[in-house]
Amino acid sequence: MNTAKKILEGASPVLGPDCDAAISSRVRIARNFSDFPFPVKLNPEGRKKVIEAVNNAVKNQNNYEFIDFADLSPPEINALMEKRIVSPDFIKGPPEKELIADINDGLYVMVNEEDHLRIQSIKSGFAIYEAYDEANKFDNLADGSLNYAYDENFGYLTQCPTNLGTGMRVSVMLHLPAITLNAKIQNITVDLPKIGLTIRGFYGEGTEVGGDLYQISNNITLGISEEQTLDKIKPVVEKIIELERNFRNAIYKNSKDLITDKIKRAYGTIKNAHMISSGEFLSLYSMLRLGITYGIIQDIDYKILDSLLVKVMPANLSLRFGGEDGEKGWKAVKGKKSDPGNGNKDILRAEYIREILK
Amino acid sequence: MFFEFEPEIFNVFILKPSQGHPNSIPAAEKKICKMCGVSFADITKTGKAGCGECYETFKNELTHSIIRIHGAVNHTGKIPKNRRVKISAKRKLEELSFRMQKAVGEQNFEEAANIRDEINKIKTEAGEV
Repeated sequence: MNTAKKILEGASPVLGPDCDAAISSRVRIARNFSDFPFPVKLNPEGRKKVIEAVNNAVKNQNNYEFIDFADLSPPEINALMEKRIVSPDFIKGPPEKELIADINDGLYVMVNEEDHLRIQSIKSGFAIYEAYDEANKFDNLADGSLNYAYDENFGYLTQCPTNLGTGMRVSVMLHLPAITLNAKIQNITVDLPKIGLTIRGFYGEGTEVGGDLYQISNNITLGISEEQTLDKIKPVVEKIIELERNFRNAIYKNSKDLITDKIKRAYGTIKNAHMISSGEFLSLYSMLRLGITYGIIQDIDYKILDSLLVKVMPANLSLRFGGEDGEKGWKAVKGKKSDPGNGNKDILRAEYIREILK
Repeated sequence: MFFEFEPEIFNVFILKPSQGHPNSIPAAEKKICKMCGVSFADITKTGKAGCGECYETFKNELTHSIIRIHGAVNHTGKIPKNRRVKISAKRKLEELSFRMQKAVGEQNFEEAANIRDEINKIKTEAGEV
């Protein structure tokens, strides 16, 4: 199995803290080297030198795998983007770029994205401190290979000034069906920016919002330390999780039969439907996840269900059905809106979901 | 698109060029970053700097926008290895100096003297900071 496939498969399933409401925690740290202009202003030779310097600094230190993008097929690259291991900007950028991965620890570093380094760490559940430690470890290794671009007042210098200071973005993905049902998301949306945090919906394919999934992250990176940022997010997320649990209990107490019926119908649909669109999948996903929390669904666990979020996206579907290179499947799955190709995609999605939930 | 990878980044450098004759090029825009050749006009247009050196070259011009984004221009987080000793000592001295002034204000001269000794110790250890 090549490295891209291993990344898409993910590490061995481990349930993270507060997994009933928290899907995953991510920390991203942006870094640049002072001897080179930022990647967009750097020539191919310079971009290669950056890759070389980073590789030399970290190659003997850990189980890092170095992935040259020239070795990946288009569906593999798109599948990595769907899993949010690489960004759209990274894919669009010039060819001298690299992904460094430590799959078991959930560490992924984009070299020559918008900044020279985008160090990303992903952990299951609500585990922002663990995610930071992992990213910080890589940062310490890379520091010293070349001097970081840094200013005493502005902190770590980044291409976009919104990342100045720590260069760190912390985010937690939450599943909040009960808060959504009680129409309280609006309150959170209004309150969080006042303390420098943001909540955003998790967007599905196209522009649809679904799955009752939300991401909370910090807005500000300058004038606040890494520890302060983490300490600020922690109680806010804890409070939101507590609120979600209270609403879930209230729903079960007040409308047990109604919610049980909804969950069992979702179960019946996902196990038997012939066609499932990505929008419908997200609705079913949300109901089933709630069903696991209530103990109504017992033969599906959070980890398997969460893995579907990425696996049923188009490029990941194409890899599943298109064989080794994914090309055949890519054509079969992509289709045009007006032809059966799009319906075909929904059939393949339903088939793949059944296969995974078997 | 499955997911927006980063928060929407707005062009944060949309500034009014400095006032002057309508046909004159504002002083800041004549300056070019020595490292990457970017001008302040380029930065305002794209909202992005070309290299780390741009932040030094256009420090005065950028400070206002950076305060608008972050509410601050004083980095208090991590420090790279090669700057750590010096900047840590400087931060510590600033904190001690603040505490000393406070102690003096409260007429707590014994504590103020202790803090002064600590300041002198750090200065000796770290060299002039």
